[in-house]
Amino acid sequence: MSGNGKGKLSIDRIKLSLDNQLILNDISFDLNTNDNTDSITIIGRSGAGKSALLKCILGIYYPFSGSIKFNNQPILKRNKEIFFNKLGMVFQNSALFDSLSVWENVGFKYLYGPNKMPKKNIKKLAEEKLERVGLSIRSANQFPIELSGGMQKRAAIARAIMTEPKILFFDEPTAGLDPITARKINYLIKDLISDSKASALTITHDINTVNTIADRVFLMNEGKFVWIGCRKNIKTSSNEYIKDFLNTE
Amino acid sequence: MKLLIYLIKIIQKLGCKAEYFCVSIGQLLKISLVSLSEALTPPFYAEPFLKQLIFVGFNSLPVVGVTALFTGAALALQIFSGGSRFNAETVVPSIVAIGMTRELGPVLCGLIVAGRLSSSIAAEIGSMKVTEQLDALKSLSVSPIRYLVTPRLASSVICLPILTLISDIIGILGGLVIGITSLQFSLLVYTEYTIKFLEMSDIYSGLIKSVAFGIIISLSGCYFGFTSKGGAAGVGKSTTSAVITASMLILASNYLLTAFMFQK
Repeated sequence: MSGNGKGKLSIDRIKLSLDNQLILNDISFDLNTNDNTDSITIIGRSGAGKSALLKCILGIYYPFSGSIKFNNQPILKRNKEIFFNKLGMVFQNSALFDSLSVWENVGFKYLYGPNKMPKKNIKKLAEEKLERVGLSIRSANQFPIELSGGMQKRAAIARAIMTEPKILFFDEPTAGLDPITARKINYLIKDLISDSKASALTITHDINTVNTIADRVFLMNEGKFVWIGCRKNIKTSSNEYIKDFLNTE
Repeated sequence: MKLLIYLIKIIQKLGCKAEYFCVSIGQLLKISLVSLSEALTPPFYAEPFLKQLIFVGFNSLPVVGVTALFTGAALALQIFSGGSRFNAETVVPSIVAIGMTRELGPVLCGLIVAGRLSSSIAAEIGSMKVTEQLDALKSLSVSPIRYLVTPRLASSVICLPILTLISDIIGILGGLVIGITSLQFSLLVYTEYTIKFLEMSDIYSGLIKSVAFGIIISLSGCYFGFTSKGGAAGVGKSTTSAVITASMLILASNYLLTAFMFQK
């Protein structure tokens, strides 16, 4: 980790409350975004606060205490754009826009975002990204509803990597997929992280995802991290939460 | 003691309702102001705006046209029947024209479009919310209000007056057809009476109302879409609330605007 805060996303002691309930309690960690790429996986039961943490980082929820910094600068409304230009996000249910074709979804940031490009170039680039994630060019002109769950997830990944981000966020990337498709998606994510030299923050409760893509693992329970360690240590850990999680899995 | 507890509970409930009402008004105001400010500053999204223009304007034409045609025809019959009680059958063309342009054209057009549009906007934005598509917009550096609300608001404000004007014309034509075929008016007399008594202020007043209705319809749909909660059932509730709220606000604002423009 760099000492001056450059090249990292720093979450420092954030607390979040929703509907008078404490969802995140004193959460801190750093994600390296410099050349030494980092892959953090946050695991935990449903309702532990994993997705809420991701939404805090994205500025969808606002923590009432603590700070979220990127390159040592707090992520505020005025500089959110700089941070958002460096990230790609894959949502739990893919969150593809129904009214747009697949290529328009993939190229959305260039079609409507601050960095516009000619439509022809966007389509070409979107097709390249779709091929990169294993989708045919034919699917580019289809609508999301015409794709299977696995294909939708691939399209969402293509959208996330469209602008070649430095940080990739994955919220339950294998949720709702069959084991074979889930495995393929896990390996696709692993390849993308190493190819694009991007850091990744993945929220999951799938132990296979952890085994495939994680460098570091954080176990969350009731809004707190109750175990932090390397992927290889997870099986040998004597932590009761980890044991409980692995047994449930 | 029991009575006191009961009273406290009632006051608590009223307090909650009042808080909810104030929060809702605040959210609606926020959406309106942000949408207005984003409508006036770049970037402008031409494609979603054009799509909405076609959806709001062109696709509403058949239902607005049919409604206006039959309303104008029925109005002519009613006025003839009522007017004949005091030998005032000749007022049919002028009353149909004034009634359509001042009241029925804008209000019926507003209510019909509210049924079509508010529900559709609330359902679309509501389902986008529950499937995280609104969050996806934010993560892609695109403001959901700029991308979703502004094109809908702008297209409603542009289309409603045009639809109202078309509704006025079709309604008057409906009265004309009935006047000629059933009420023994000649084409010349009916047209002359319509033009003679119809003033431009009658038409303008209806068009001004329709602008207000356009704002109400689009903002109501967007507000209930953005505040949808709880999956498909929540989206269904939002859709219903959007139509009911828009319809009630159209009727209430119609009275206020009429009182403001015509009360001397």
